Amino acid sequence: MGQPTTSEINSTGAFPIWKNWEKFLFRVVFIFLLVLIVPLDPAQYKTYFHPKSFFWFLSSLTGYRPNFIQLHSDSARWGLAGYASWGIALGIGLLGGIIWTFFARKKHTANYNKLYYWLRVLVRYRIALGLIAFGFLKFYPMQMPYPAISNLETNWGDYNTYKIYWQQVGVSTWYEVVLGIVEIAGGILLFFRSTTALGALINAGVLYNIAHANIAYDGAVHVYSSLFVLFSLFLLVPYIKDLYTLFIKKEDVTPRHYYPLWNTRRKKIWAYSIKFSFVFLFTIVYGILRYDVHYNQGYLKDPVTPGLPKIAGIYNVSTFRINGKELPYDPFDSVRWQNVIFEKWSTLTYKVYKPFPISLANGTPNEKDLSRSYELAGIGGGRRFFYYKADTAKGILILQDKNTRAGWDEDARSSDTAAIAKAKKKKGTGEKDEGKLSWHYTRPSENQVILYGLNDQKDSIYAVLDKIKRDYPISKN
Amino acid sequence: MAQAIYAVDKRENLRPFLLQFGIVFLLILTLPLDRHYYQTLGSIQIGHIHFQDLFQLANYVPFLGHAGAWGWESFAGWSWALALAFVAAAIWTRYDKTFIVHEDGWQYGLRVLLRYRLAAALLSYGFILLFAVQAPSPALSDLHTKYGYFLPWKIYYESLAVSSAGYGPTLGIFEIAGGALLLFRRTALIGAGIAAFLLINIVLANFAYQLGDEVISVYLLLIAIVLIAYDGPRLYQLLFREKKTAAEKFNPVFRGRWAALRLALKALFVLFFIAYATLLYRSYSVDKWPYPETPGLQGAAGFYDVRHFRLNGTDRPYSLVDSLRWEDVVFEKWNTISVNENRTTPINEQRPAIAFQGTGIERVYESLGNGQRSFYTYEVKGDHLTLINKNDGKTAYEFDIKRPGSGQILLEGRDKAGNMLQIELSKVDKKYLLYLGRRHPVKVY
Repeated sequence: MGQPTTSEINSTGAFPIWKNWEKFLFRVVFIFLLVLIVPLDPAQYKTYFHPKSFFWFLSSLTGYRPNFIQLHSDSARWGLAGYASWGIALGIGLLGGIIWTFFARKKHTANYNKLYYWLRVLVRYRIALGLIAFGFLKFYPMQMPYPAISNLETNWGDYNTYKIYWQQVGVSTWYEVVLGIVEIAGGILLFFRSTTALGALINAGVLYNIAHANIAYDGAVHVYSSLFVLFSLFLLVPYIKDLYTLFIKKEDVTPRHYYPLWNTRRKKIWAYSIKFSFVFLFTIVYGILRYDVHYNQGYLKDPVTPGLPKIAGIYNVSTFRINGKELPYDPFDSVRWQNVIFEKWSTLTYKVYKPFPISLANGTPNEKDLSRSYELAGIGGGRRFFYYKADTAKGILILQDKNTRAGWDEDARSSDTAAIAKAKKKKGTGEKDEGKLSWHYTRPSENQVILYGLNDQKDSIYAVLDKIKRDYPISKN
Repeated sequence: MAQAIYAVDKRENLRPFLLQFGIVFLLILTLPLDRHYYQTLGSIQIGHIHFQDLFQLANYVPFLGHAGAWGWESFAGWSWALALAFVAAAIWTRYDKTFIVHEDGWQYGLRVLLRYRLAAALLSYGFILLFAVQAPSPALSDLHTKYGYFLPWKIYYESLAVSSAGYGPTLGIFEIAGGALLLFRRTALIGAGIAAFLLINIVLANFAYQLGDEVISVYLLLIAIVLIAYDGPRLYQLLFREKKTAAEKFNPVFRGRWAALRLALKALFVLFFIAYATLLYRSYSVDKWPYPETPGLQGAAGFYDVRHFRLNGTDRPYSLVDSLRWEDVVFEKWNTISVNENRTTPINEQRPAIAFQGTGIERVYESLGNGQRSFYTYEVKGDHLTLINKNDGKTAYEFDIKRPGSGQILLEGRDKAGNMLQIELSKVDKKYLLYLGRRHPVKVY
């Protein structure tokens, strides 16, 4: 039954001859999209051939972001200037289209159906891979973790908008998982011809929402998510006319799409094995490896080393002495701690009345607790973050400052490349030099902690901390 | 033999029965059968008509009756609708033998009703998003509330409120466009598609953040799905099977009086929403809705440190744990004071319905879902300030107010238990990362 129809739609004679302007438009679009999909940067190929593991190889195939121009303005990172690379790609497309048209002027090509088909395949797989990789980040809800205690204790006005956007999703874990499933499903639908229209429609909508939200909340992923909107709209083009005729003009329609014919057994085997290895690799294998990377290798945004047992919570600083001098609680003191928080993991934070530079990183997942900086990203309010190692036998905490070093915007998409380079350099040499603090701690009772030692200014600190009971409305159901 | 004949009958009856069941069920949900709805209708004062009145008129929530129920529980009324529809459809199948002849007409009639019901919802919600009335810009008190002290729905609303680049209004425009497309038979599918897209997310968010609109959002999504399902076979044939697809053949014809009536109803519907949008715009621009409309103390708006706090003559120093002392105070631009009191405040768990009929103290949006600050409406008479708790409507404090210098406020008076209070407030020039930290690196407290 299916056989005659396939050969019928495959006979090129049955397809109309394209007009000259259609051919020119196709040539421009073909090159434009190719430039956006196929990496031109040799550095990108290095990541393909020298991956850290098979997962990172697969991962590098899913996330290429065309970037032809290094702009350092704020607008390049958060605003419209970020789209400059699209303009350049379009320029290359136009130029290429003109050259191609010149060389093809004597050839009488009826149409580019075949090339168009393969371009669509390329675009479909590009979207599918990218979205599946996106989706798994939320399916294993690690892209937006549940807010840390220090974040629950931060005033709304002391938040950066992008952190508000991310954390809102993190507040409801199952909602994040469902969003992940939608992205994965939208990707999978594009692996198959018959579900391409539905998949492209879903993806155009979902990714438009993500792109606009990224502009609205300064999330800095707007250009990359817009890329998928562009690709999805491109996929929808051939369906528009048929849909219009059928539903608006209310006339019967016979759709005609070109598909290559796998007419021999060998061709069939090749086509289907390549296709299904792609599908298998980027759904099941990728999903398993991604799980392993996050939960076994620990590429996460929040630290995982547990803190001291039963210590998590917020503490009132009942007594605070610096060099033996007692300071009373004062919300406008730049030295005296206002409160101390121990997270469930090995992070200690205290709050003072002092301006600090705000980390604008998205909190890239990291292998080391020290560099897992999502908890301190995008919030103000004078809070210092320390990673600590506890020597429970001696009662000593070895602390390392997270504000100055931890992934200070390790984000490669940052506009402030000079600052990153500096931070990296500092990180490289500072590993040993940078002062670790060593504080004694005692726990006279379950709800009290006493800390003493030297701070980074070599002043002696003594603090009595009493736990405050908290019952956050946000976790009320 | 008898068995076989029965089997054939049964199959022939199943399709009309299912259709009739669906028609009755959707009618029960759509027609306002709840007496609640008519009470609201009766309470509208034509002289003081407010966009909220029109909103409620256009958005009957099926079986709201089960007040106080959350999540799936609030759908209890729907099981009655299912049972009732089952019985009604059984009777209908038994006695109406000509249904097959009128089937197309019934279906068309139902679709018209559902299209307009869905359009009404999309237009009324769309405009409140467009004018940022649903999720208004955060009040100063919100900026001084800790993240963990909001209920999840408030987090959702406040998050939407701080978006820039016309994000919220764009969602509104999509809803309005979807609603407008539903008004015409030929574009109804696109409208229903946009509606389904938006509503899937709205339904999920309602359950994830307990926004309080679970019932109506699920109901609207159901309508959108029913409308799309009508074109389902055609979509499947065209897009999945990619085969020849026949267009819809049914074409309703209106003549004479019917044509006039149809046009009149359509015009009435459009006029209704023009009136709605106009009233809403006035609320947005003049009335400050949903915040109170009475202006606050001249020049007082701001964030204040509680410099000194004397209770019955005893000075109480700064403290993070003293439940008798105030930590900080916010004067809103309108007549609201919110106090960070260092103790758990009873949280108002109401959801933000577009139904606050009142003015002044009844406009409680600012205090809903906030578990940290206590909100007081205040009245000024000369130098005298009366603070009324927004949660229970009772007088909480009586103060004499002095303003010796700029940014300084002295309050002297009593709380409701008769304790004597002397409070010195001093204004803090607070910088907010929320506003400073947009699109550039920043250093701030």
